[in-house]
Amino acid sequence: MNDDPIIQPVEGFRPEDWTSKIRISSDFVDRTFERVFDDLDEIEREAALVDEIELPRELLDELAPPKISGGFVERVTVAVQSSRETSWNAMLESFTPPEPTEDFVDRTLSALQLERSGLRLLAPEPAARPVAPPRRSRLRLALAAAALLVAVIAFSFLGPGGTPERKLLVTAQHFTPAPWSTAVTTLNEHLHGELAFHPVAFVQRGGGR
Amino acid sequence: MNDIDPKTIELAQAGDAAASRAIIERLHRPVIATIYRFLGPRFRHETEDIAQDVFLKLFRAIERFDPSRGVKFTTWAYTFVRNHCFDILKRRRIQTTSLNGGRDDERPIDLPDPAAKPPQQIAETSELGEKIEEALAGLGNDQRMAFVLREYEGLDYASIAEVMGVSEGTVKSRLHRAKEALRSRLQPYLRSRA
Repeated sequence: MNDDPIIQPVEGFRPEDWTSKIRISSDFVDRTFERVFDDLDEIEREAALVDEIELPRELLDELAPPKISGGFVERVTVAVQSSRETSWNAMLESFTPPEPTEDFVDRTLSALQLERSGLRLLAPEPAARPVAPPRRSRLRLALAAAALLVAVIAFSFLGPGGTPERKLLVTAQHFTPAPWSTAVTTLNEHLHGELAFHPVAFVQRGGGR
Repeated sequence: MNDIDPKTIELAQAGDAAASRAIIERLHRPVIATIYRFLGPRFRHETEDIAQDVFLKLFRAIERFDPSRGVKFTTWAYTFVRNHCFDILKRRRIQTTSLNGGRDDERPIDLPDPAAKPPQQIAETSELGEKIEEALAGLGNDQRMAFVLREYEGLDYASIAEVMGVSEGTVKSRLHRAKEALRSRLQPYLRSRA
């Protein structure tokens, strides 16, 4: 139950409450308006009289300005130029980082240790990670590569390319430190022209070096 | 006062030392005189330092001066004098007393304190000069600045209005009030002269 006669939120807003509490007089706007214009009128009236009062020049001149020291212009010019030159440097210098105090490293390390110990209190030290055994996939890959190599060698000697001529050619090349064309010629001689082995045909068959 | 030629201003804006010197050479007397007459004898020994600060501020901002606005450079320079002097009075927070019976709504300036006046100044300033200083010190800041700019520096009403950031009508009104107050305070001297 709210007994306050002013605040009655449940009753909602009533304009008469505001007008009764703020107490703005009904002629406030008129009076203010009148005063503002009176002031403006007065300013206008005084402004019109500005040249009416003349103070004698010689009287005012009794208030002489002070004597200016000799080097004033030079001094100010130097100050102005110096200010222009240093303003940029001064701005940059104002951003110079402060020098760390001597015990900065020690304090930081202590803080770190404290922090770590605090964390240890919160959570247990994690167990060491188990060393992972060599992965089987790598072993499999190595075995597959070895098998492939053996298959290629076997195919080279026993497959379509592994004909008796090729074997002879390889053997001839092995024992003859000569270009492959010479080896072919030598092979043809050994075979007595039965096969008429030609270098171009050999190259086309993919056996050239 | 004739204005400074635009070429010199342009060179000074570009940082030319000779042009800057020419501007200082040209303005230093009116600037120092205005500061002295506005702030009064209490600041006599600081007048040149204050003037130097005004020039430093002016040259830091000189790039912002735009002749196309139609404002004279000298008028623009007086704006720095006015603002810096007002800042000084604000910073020092001098005990102030109005002599014009609270009629003026402007903030009054301090009364000169004869006890604080250095002997050197007493020797240099005439008795009548001191009376004018006292009478000026009794004006409000805005009235005094308007009076100094008009009567001593010869600025026209429009330029004073530009410096003070008010209308010409307000400037004229302040000047009239200032003259009325000064005439009243200097009456004995005016009569003797008559």
